[in-house]
Order: sequence, then C-alpha cells, then structure tokens
Amino acid sequence: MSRGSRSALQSFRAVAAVAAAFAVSTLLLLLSGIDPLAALGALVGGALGDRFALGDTVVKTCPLLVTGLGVALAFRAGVWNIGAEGQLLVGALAATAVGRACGGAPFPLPLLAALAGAAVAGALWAGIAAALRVYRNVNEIVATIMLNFVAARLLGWAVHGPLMEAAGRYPQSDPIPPAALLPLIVGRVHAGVLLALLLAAASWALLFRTGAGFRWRVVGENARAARVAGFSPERAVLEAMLTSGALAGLAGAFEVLGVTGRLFEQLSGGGGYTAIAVALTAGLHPGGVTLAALFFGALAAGSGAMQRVAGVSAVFVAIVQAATLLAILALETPRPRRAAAESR
Amino acid sequence: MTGGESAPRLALRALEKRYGSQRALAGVSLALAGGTIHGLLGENGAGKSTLVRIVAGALAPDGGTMAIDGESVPFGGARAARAAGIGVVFQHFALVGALSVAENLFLGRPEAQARVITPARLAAEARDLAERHGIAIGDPAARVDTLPVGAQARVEILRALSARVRILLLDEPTAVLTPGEIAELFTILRRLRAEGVLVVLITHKLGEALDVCDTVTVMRAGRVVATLPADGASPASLATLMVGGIEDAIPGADAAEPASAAPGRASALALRDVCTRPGVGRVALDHITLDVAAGEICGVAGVDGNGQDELAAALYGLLPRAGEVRVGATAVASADVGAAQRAGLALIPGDRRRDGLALRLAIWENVLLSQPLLARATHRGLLDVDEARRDATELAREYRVVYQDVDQPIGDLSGGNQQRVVIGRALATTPAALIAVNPTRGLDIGASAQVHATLRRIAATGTAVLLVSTDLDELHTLCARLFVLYRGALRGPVERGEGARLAALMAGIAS
Repeated sequence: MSRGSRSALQSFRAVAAVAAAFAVSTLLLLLSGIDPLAALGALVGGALGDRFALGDTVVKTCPLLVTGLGVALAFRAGVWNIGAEGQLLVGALAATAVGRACGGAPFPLPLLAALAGAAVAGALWAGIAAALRVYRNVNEIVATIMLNFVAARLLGWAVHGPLMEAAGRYPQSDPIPPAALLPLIVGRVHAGVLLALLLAAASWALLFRTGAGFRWRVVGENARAARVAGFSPERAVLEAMLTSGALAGLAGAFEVLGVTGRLFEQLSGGGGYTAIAVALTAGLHPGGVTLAALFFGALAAGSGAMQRVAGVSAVFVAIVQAATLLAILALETPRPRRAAAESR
Repeated sequence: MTGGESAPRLALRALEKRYGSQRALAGVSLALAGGTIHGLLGENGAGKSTLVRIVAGALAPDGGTMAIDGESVPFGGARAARAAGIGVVFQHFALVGALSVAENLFLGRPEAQARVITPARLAAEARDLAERHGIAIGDPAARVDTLPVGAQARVEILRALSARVRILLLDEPTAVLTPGEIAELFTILRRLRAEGVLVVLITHKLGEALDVCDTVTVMRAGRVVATLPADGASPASLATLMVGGIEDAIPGADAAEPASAAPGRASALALRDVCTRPGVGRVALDHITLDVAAGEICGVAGVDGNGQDELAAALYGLLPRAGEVRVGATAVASADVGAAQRAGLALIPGDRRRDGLALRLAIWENVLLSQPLLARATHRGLLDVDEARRDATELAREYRVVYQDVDQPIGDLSGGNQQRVVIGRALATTPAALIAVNPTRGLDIGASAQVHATLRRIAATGTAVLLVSTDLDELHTLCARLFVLYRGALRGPVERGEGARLAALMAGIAS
C-alpha cells in the first residue's frame, strides 16, 4: 500500500464517517418529529449561508485547528495528551495577564509578548504531565485530564481575584489593551486564523521534514525499536508534549486576543476536547486536521442557527460530532498489537 | 511402567505443524504410558513447546492424530483438552498476581464460574483441593505476587490438577525454582505417577530429567530423535543426541573456511568483567570477559534464555551494566546507546519486528532507524527526504531487498527482506564491531546463506563480529572460536571438533 492509497483510505474513512453520522442524526431528528431537511438546512445556512456565517465558521475553526494540531503531534509520538482543554485555558490566562501587563507598549510588542506567554504557559502545563510520565511513570491520560480541572479552577480563581475587572461586578477580566489584540482581517475573522494555517504547515514540516518529528513518529510506532535505534523515547515524549501544549496555549491566546478581548470562565466550551475528535478524524495528519477542524467549526457555527431557525437543540450538533468520531474510530484499521505500553 | 497390556495413555501420530516455511513439527509420533514420568528433551526450537501447546489445545496442528487411552481425541481448544483430562503447567506461570491463591485456583475451573462465589467459599474449596492432592498452599487468601516462586509453582500445578487429570504436562517448570523447590516438585510428580497419571516433563536440564523420569524422548528440529529408558542414559549421551550432528555440522573441505583472527591482532571489541544486576533482564550476566579481534567472527552459543539477549543489550547500551566494554581504544559507557553507536558498535537485534523495525513506517524511514544514519540525513534539523529515499533505494539494491516502492510500509515485506534492511542498516555505518543476534532466525536457506556471506564480507573488511546464535550449524560455519553462555556466564572457548564438550557446556554439565 503506497502513501497515496493510505491517505485516500483515510479520506474515505472521514467521508464515510461523516455520512454515517448524518444518517444517525437524521434518524434522531425524525424520531423527534422534526423535519430533518429544515434542520440540516438551517445548520448549513448557519455555517456557510452568507459572509457572516462563513466568518463565524472560520472563527470557530481556529481554536479547533490549533489544538487539533497539538493533539495530533502528541498522539503521533505515542503520548496521549487529553489536556488540550487545560493547556488552552492556561494559555488564555497567560495571554490576558501578559497582554494587560504590557499593553502600554507599541503594537505589536504586547501582542507578541502575549502570544509567547501563552505558548510557554501551555507548554509548561503539558510539561507537568510529560515530566510525570517520563520521571514517575504516571499515565499521561490521567494526568492531563486532572490538569484540565486544575486549569479551569485556576482560571476561575484568576477572574475572581487578581485579574477581575476593576468594576468588580462580573467574574471576568478588564478588556485587553488594543495593542495586544490580534488585528481583524475581514469581519470577525482575526489574524490568528492566518497564524493557525501557518502553524498547520509548520506542524506538517515538523512531523515529516525534521529529524525531531521523525524520532517522535518512530517512538509513537515502536518505542522499543526507537530505543535500539538510539532515539530516546523519554526525550521524544517531553519534546512532543511541550510542543503540543504550546500549540494549545496559542489557541487560548487566539481566543482572548482575537475573539473575546477579555478573559472569562466559560472561555473554551470544551474545544480542547473536540480537538481530540478533530485530530483522530484527521488520521493525525496536519493537512487532515485543517479540514476536520473546518468541519467541526462549521458544525459549531451552524448549531446556533439551527437552534434559532428550526428549534433544534444545540445538543444535536454534539451528537453529530460524537457520531462522527465513533464512526471514524470504528472504521480505523486495527493496529497491530504494538509495544505502546513498553515505552516507559 | 504399566506398558504393553493396553492402549497407551497418550498416543500421538504423525503430528505436523508449520509456521510459514518452517516445519516446527515434522511428523512426531509418541506413545506414552500412564503412571510414568516422561522427559521431553531438546534444544531451543526443537519443537517441544509446540508439541505441548498442541496437546494442550492451545494450538491446532496441520496434521496428525491424538488418542488418550485408545480413544481418539480431536484437537479442539483448551476446554476440550481439559475435558479429556489434560492439565498443563506452562513455562511462564499463567497466574494473576493481584488475585489470591484461592481466586487463581478458581480461574482453573471455568465450568464453575457460573456460580455465585464468596471469598470464604473459594478459600474452603482451595484448602479442600490442596488437601486432596497433598500440596501445601499456605494461606489461600494470600496474594499470589507476594508468594515465592516455588509456592507459585505449587499453585500452578494445583490449578492444573483441579480438574480430573490423566495427563499432566509441565513446560520447563524448574527454570525458576531453587534446588529445594525442585526436589519438592519432584516429590509431587512421583506421587502423581503413583496415582496413575502420565507426567510429561519438558526440560533441557539433563541431570534432573535422568533423576525423575522413567523414559526420555529427545527431539531435534521438529523430529523425535530417540526415546529411551532413563536408566541406561548418561547426561553426555543425551547431550549429544540433543544438540545432535555436532561433528557432522563442522564443515569439511567443501565449506568455506570460517573467518579467523590473525594471531596477535589487537582486539577490536573487548569485554572485561561485564555484569548485570539480578532483576535487570531475565538472566544476570556474570563477569563476562572476552576479546574479539578485528576481522574475527566470534561465536556465542547457548540454549536460548541463558543471557544472550542480555549480553547484546548490555553491550549496546540498552541495559545498565558493570564492567568495561571497549571498541578499539574507546571505552563505551553503560546504558547509553548513543555512546555505543559513537564508539562504532552496531547491533542486529534478535527480534527484528520488536526491536528493529517500525512496521507501519515506510522502508526508507526504517532505513533511518539509527541515530547516526538519521544524523547523516538531517541538515540543520531538516530531514532530506529525497536523499533518504535514494539511500534506501541504494541499500535495497545492495542487499537485494525485494520490494515495490521505498514508500511502502516495511511491514508489507517478507521476514527475509525485512532482515536484509535491518542488516544493511547496521552495516551502513561501517561499524568497528557488530553484534549479531540470531541473524538468520526465521529465514529460509537462501536468505540465510546471503546473511552468512554478508557477515563474512564485513569481517573480511576488518569488522569484529560477535555472533550470538542458538543455531549451532550457523556458528560452526562462521566461527573459528566458540564460547558458550550458560546462566549468564561465558564458558570456553571451544575449539572446532570438540563437539561433545560444546554439548556438555550448553547443557551446564561441564565447565
């Protein structure tokens, strides 16, 4: 099987999974006594119907794309980073803190500082789980999930405490100074979207055109063989997790610096978890992650319209997402039993 | 022995089993009487474990029949074998460490598992079972992983006996036991014999086979070589049968002369008191001192599991070790693969799929599965994919790899072609010293001959080759000097022509 036919197979899986998901969803709509055509029409209209709908789709795609890239990189190295959500939140927190602290400096210095702060914060947050895995043999799935809760509470503390608005009314930060914000390009579409696309290209190059990415992939495929080859699995896990966390942190920065302009508690809405679905749907390939993020972003954008126009709950979109992911996983060719557990 | 008057307890006829092109069993027939202890002896790969697994229902044969007490028994899975009265104690105990003794015994009775159980009831049943068979198990509520190995062996045997057993198979049960525990085990086996059970003991320890067995069958290369009463046999005669053809295997005038070191040449690979700690790896290496000269192929023989993997791993930096390893003038640090590679050491791992390949990655990517080669293909951190593909194509041509496209996953290739890639990769760095572990395992004759030619060629260019192999023919063909690994210690050298001494060293009955 050549590389071409493998990526064709992955595309087929993705299309088949989406089709299966919509079939299941249509059935559910019929059972609920809703006209599926009207509901899906509203969904598509809300996602792609006009300039604003398209803009909304693109804006909602951005964090999914960047966190999805991070998840894909980690998974490729065989380390199961379920912590994109938490890494995104600490990234948003760091971006807000840095942006507010040095917002007085001329553009784009505060913006760059805020982005750098977010990347570092996300990387360190992921680094906790990576260090626990490498030095204490703690399962990274458990560690990253736990750190998601800690990050959410940390953010809650920040917006009730040190970063709370001066008025002291709502648990949110004051607006971030304009010099730290991502410029808008068209409508609500901010410059972070362009950065996200650059990051997708960079992630592809990192995985497939650098020695480091090669080592990660070998470790992810066969950690024992990697060790015999002289590639340290521990080093690969640390590197991939830090990179993964940095990407998720940047996604958080893009949200506060490009969309909300300030920090508040329900910032992410579970995007860091959707990122796992994005990465898996995409077969852990950065190009596929871009398309899958767009699909999940369109679903998110369309769900509001569907609720308004057709009176269908947004929960319905969550069902489509979940059904897509399950179908993708079910269509996955079973991996040969491999030494994933032996990578200690 | 009850022999003669009735059908044998276990009759196997013309058992065949193939793995790909290899014949693991080539027409094995045996007739064993009840109320005896029968030893099954043979080298690694002789087919003993395959035979046990077939009788136990864990493996279906490609041909042959089985009868118990004259009644034909189909090969129908583990449950059917249990129903036919066959109990098995496998080489690696199949106990669940986190469960209690009573719970583990209960696991041996799938038919009882539909009932509601309580710990008290299980414990009572366990005590009952232990008493019935006169096997001490201590506290039935104790967790199995807290027990000494000897006690675990008793639990395992008791579990095998929990159904009504007419035939008890034990696959190398003494490998991990102390002498005291072994004596105790043999007492149990003798009692079972007195009760009319057929006990089949698989072992490669000749002394204990002669000690406890009534009759002994020696297997080699999937065939029965001889079945003989234990009384008249000596360890040396059994060893010769077991290793077999040692004298014939030494090449005559027609075969190529093994590579040998010119006298006085400096050692290219030097080991001084190389040890590993017990618990690191399966077998602890015991003060191994060895010199391999540039251009020499030095052989290390031994029954599998006597420290071969540990030796290769300790030298190549995969296991922490004590003692000194030098490649030329360079001392190699312990537990540092990079240091070993920089010193000019290369490894052909014994298990290529586990340790040598990433099966889903492309052929060209697998060619880069070595830090020095990756570094060569990487410029300022960027991987030159075109160059890597060209290098892989070149390597594939040089080593006659049969493939379609260097982009195809290496898992698609046959074992022989995969091994060509592994060997080509190991030699691509022109190592000063090469460690090759069973480099022809699983290969057909043509591919094996090519591997041998490659090893000779690399030695002729001045590389020191340490060939660790369980294949005596291979060692005799390639090596002038042979050592034997036995329980982690190196014995020898054995000169060519000392076949009997080699067999004795491998069986641990000479030093």
